[in-house]
Amino acid sequence: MVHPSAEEFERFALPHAAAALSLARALAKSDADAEDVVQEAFMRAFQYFAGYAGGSPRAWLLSIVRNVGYALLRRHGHTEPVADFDEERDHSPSPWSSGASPDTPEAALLRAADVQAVQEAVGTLPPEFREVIILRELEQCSYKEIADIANIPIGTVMSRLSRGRRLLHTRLSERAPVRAAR
Amino acid sequence: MSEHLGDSLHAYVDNELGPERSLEVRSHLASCAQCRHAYENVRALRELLHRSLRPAEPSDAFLRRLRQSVRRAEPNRFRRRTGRIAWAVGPLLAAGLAVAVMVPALRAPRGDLAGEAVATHLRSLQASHLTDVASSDRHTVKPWFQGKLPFSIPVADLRGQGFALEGGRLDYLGGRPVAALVYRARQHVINVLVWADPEAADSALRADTRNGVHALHWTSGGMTFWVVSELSEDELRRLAALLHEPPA
Repeated sequence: MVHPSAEEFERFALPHAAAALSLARALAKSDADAEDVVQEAFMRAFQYFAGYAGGSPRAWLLSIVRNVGYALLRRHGHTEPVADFDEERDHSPSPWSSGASPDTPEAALLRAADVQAVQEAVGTLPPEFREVIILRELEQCSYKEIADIANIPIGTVMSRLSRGRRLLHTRLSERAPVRAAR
Repeated sequence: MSEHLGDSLHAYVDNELGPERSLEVRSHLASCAQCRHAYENVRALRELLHRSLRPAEPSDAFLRRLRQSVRRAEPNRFRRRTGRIAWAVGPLLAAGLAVAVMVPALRAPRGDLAGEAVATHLRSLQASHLTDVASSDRHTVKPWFQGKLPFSIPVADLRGQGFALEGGRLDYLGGRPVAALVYRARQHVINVLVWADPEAADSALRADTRNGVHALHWTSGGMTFWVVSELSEDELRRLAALLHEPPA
């Protein structure tokens, strides 16, 4: 078949440039790295474009962004994860699991957290959790889309989201007293 | 109930459980203070994230760089050029074939916004990509665009007036990202392409026709609308009037 033109590809891909950049930021160390990841991903996507078999264009593009992003992470020494992340390691008694007393005011505490604190806490998550949080909470992807993008089963999407949120909650509650004491 | 909800609590908050499981979760929540507490926390955290996470905003310079690199990566230029020639003579050789009529219609010279709008409409019918967000609820469609476009768009459900909202998607027209709202009237799909340009002067409604597809456009209050469909021009004018002054 005739390979689609650059112009056709741009119409298809450019509407998703912001989503691509958001995901790349979740995986890259700096904004400049994130832009490089998106650029590389778009060039690859264009090369594979003739083989694009339909389905959500956003999910297809983001899966390529993710592959490029992880390739960069691996070059920086990150090893891919986490099939059985040890959650006990990372939390003290938390209201997300049994053993918490039901009347602690975490919800109120969360409501009071400031934007910068949240962004920093998201930044400290391991990339496997950060990416599902960004895809879900920022890009509002369905579990199915996230599963397609990250090439993981839907059950894993659910458990990573759940653990990612628990980690975030723990980190936000840890920093709250410090901030209050300043 | 003895089992706590665990991960399925998250799937419940995310609206990703089937109706039966959701019912079970609801009844568990009614009887388990601990899970109810966890539920409140998940919801509070989600609200906080929605408030705090900012979508990336690609700069113009970056978008230019993206385009340039894609053009440089254009593979196998020779095959593409012969492909173009085949497309150009195709209509002459096979004038009766719908495919031959469609293909040139999918391309439009730069600067011909009506042609581009019609090409966008035809592409949306061909690809399995009519909508990114499929919903007849304007309260679902409108927020979906927030953060994806640097402007907010009016979304009206005009089902009562014969134009049923089917959803929306992001598209690209005249070199800029636009919101595409999809309506259906009888069996006809209508693409309403909208973008904001605060500098744009108001302009009265104009109608163009390309390949039997009507494209109506106007600018009002800094918003430019293109209404594109095979539907009759009269009906499209009626829709345009409704969009101009959408019912409250």
